[in-house]
Amino acid sequence: MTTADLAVPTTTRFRLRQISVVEWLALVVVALLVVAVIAPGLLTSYDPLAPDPAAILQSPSAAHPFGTDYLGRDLLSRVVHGTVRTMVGSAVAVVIGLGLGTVLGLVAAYFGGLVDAVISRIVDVLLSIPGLLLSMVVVVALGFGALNAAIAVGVSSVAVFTRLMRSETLTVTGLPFVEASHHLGGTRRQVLIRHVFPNSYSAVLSLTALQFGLAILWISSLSFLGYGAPPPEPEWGLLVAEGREYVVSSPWLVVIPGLAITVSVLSISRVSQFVKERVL
Amino acid sequence: MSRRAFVARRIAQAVLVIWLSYTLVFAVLFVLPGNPIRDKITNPLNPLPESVVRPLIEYYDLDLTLVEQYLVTLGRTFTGDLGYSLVSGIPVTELLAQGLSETLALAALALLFSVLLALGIALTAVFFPVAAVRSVVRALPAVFLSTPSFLVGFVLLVVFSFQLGWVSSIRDQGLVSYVLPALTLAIAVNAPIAQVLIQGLSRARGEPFVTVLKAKGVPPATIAGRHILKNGSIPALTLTALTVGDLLAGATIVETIFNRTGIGLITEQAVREQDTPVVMAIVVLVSTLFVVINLFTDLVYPVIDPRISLRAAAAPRRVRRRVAIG
Amino acid sequence: MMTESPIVVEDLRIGYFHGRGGVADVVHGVSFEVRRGETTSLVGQSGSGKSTIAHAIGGLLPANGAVTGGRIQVLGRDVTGFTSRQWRGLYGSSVGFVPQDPLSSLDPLVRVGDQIAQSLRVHRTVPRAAVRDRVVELLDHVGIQKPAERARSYPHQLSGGQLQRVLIAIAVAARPAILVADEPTSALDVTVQKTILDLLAELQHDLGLAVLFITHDLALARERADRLVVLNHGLVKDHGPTRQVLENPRDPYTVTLLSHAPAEDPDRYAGRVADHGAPVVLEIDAVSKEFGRGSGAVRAVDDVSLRLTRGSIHAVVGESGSGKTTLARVAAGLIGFDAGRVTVAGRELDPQPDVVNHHGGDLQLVYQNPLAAMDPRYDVARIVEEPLRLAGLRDRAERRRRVREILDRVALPATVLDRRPREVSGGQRQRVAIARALVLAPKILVLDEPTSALDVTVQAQIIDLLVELQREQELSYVFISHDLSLVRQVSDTITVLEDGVAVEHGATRTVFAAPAHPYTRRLLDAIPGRVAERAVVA
Repeated sequence: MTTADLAVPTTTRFRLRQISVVEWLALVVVALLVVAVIAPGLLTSYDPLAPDPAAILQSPSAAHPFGTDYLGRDLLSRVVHGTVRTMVGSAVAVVIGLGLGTVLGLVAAYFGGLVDAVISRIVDVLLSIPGLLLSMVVVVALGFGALNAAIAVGVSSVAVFTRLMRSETLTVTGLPFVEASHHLGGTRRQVLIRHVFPNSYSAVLSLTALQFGLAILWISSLSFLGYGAPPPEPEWGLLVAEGREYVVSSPWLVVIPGLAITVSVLSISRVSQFVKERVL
Repeated sequence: MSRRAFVARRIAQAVLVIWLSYTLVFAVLFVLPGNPIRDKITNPLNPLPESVVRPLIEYYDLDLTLVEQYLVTLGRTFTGDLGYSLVSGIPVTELLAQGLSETLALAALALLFSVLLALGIALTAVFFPVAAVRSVVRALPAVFLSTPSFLVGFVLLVVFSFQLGWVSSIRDQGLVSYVLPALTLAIAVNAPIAQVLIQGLSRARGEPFVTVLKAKGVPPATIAGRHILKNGSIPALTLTALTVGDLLAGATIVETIFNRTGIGLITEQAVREQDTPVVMAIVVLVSTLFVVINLFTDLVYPVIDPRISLRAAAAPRRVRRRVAIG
Repeated sequence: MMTESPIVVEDLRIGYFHGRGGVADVVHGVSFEVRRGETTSLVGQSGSGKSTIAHAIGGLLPANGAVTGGRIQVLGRDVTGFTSRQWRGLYGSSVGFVPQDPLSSLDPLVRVGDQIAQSLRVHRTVPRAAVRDRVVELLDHVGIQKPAERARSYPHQLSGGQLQRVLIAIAVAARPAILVADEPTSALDVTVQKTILDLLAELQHDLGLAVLFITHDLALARERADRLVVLNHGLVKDHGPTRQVLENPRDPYTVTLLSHAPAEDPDRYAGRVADHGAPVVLEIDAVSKEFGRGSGAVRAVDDVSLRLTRGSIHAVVGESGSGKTTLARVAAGLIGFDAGRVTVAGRELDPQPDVVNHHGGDLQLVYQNPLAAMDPRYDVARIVEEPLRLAGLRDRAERRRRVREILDRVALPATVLDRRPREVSGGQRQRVAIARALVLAPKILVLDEPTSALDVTVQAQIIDLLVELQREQELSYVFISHDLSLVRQVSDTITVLEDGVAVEHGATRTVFAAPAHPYTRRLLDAIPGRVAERAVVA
């Protein structure tokens, strides 16, 4: 076949096609998230913790765009101020998963043999337990709290990162260009650093973006169940849990923080996809 | 390798994974200083009645070292004795038995919904004649995957129970009561299956054999239904089998929302109360279920796909993909 | 005036939709016809539109492709605007289709007999009760041994040649008058190719088929077609009776194509003379290599010896699975061997070589697929520079200078320096690979099918370059290939491999003139164009 020749010379790197509406929206959401983390005061002037007995359970209005909760606290302010907790928690979780997973996967692939067998077996076991359940087990061991929930979610995602890093490293190591580099005189260390690691890491980085979204979901699920940040913290999952008592009369207390999670996760994954395709 | 030897080897591997998962959970729960069981039983803030404490102390024999305790409980687990709840003093097996049928019924219905949803989404996303519809439906799994199931649950509850009054949120209506929780669970679980199915169908549709089928004069419906679907759904089939664990984990949230007393609610309470024996038992149960289903898929694989012989399958296959429920 | 031809194509234009509403034409007004009982061959290189035309005539254009002008007439009916429902009446029963890649052209989950039966059932060609028997009969007809047993096999249990026979059985099952064969043998070995084409010729004769035969191989078309249509970039360059087109080509493109096809010009490099008394630079002595262990072990290379003298080109030929690539990798020190000795530039190789090659300056391997052999993240400058860096040349300016110098020597423009491998053409890619191999100034190159992925004109340019470099720098080549015409053009000496065994070796000229081993004779007989050549001689 002549597939080699079908690849017409193109400079894909520089072909920035028009940004679609969905991508614009995702970019705006991510920008808002960044602002909410760095300077929440720019988006809302209410104190997320201050009750207002005069404005209890108000439906969305000009004064309170997202309404108020059972203590009269402004929901917009609580969602905005909750962003930093959710994002930091997810970042902690991803750093733990990515860090440990990368090292373990690389070690398993590089040393092989018994080391690989032991690591792979542990990964198998970890993967046989659903992530949410596993993070609950870790929470039982560590105790409740925002940080512990983040650590639990991070620990639960180590196996996924390890497996991907290991398999990517092994796949890339088996590719002809790695052999070619050895053939041209490259030592193991040179080839590992110059070719194997950069080429296997791009897949791991895409997984990182995916796992960041998952971490947001898992951490908010743990908070929803009451294992994460304690009240009156404005953590998103906790907001939903607090709102559930009033779901019949004031559904926005559940729906708005819930949608905040959905929209953030969707936008982050969309933007990371965009960055991967167009910028890198 | 003979079929018998292969099966024996795979069963041995499965037992190994179950044992390791037990050990791992034991290690996680007992690795921190202090003994969770002693702390719980003797916690002055949370006094248990004397009638509960005495048998628990006797049963868990807390003077043993950690390793001895591990061996004793492991031995008991293998004989089907999962210990006692530290909160109520009820045997764990009894506790789980109460919730198991409820949760299995929920999970079974949710699995059925997941498969139907995934099929519907994937077939529409790949074959629907209008391109705009295809691309909208194609985006659905990502939206489902990004939506926490507590949001889905509450929205369904508000709309169908409170607004429309179709399903009672309090009264038990038999099968009907399962529909909303099962749908909530299915929305989260079907998304990865749908994604893999879309990929599988798109890939299969581009295979040269489809051109040959067309050139033979085989009707398009037969090509899609009998050939493309069959070839494209093999990876999704494997994934579906692996989601059963996630159905059980997701039940924690769904049963909390819909106030159903199954394994999920028991898990939620056990974690809240740090009822270690119950948590361990649930993890081992879920892990066992996962391994058994995985073993089963490995054994039936050659029936579905003639290219895979048991000999080839004998090399341990890693779990391909993992799904998550939020 | 004779009766109308089964296929008549007039001023045909075909385009593909892309992105947001645009249509790009790839076929710009092509006219030809295929007569009953005759074979018309569409010949062209990749991108010529030959396959697109074949698919249009078969009603098999993909969803984003459409006829944008002109007319296709099949068995007297204008099918240009046919809907897929209308086409269903023609598929199989009027037009049979033989695809390019037999390995992926059958549903892997369905027994081959059932796939043939499907064809019979769709068209109710035979009564329901007779389908089973007819399937076995068809398999027998296309030359499948033990047809009743084979009908119950799954596709993965058959070889490429057997699968192509099954596909031919499917194509003719509903008794079509027309057969469209889209490069039916490009994925097959040359000896299998011959048997498949013989089968097609026989069926054509028995059933009176009009055959449209798509190929990139001019020699194959010369041997098999009654009429030729030479295509380039969607335009007809030449057409008419085969002999007339080839003997009196009207278009310069046909002339170029003819001069670039190795089979058409065996003496292209005849001026090159190798010094037979030159010292031996590479010696392989009774080398064996097994893969796997125990009962499943496969002996890929079995007691093979060869000698490469300085300044010469030694070819290793064989079909897929013959062990030629394994031998190349052994010689390059990429894999170990179980028995024998390998001496490269006076240095004996370790039977269990280190992963890291410390002697890149002696011998370099040029891979079959240059794209896979280069880091996709590197640009051309870094790719060619890498060996110098690895060799410890610290001076950046000096490295740059040597990269430019070597790119110049392989005739690559400086504009490719910052492109990645994916962003340059196939021919340029192979030049980059050659440049990278030469930057360490080795004395020996092992070339593993260096042109098998390239079109014939690009192949000719790369071979020209290799021959020129060889002469300038007194290089020695081990040239691995399955293409006997090419080997005859370039090599001085030759080793013929069959199932890992060297069945024949000697001077290329001698082996081609008087093959001693029956396998070599079979191989040479299967070279397309060979028949015609003999006929001319006689």
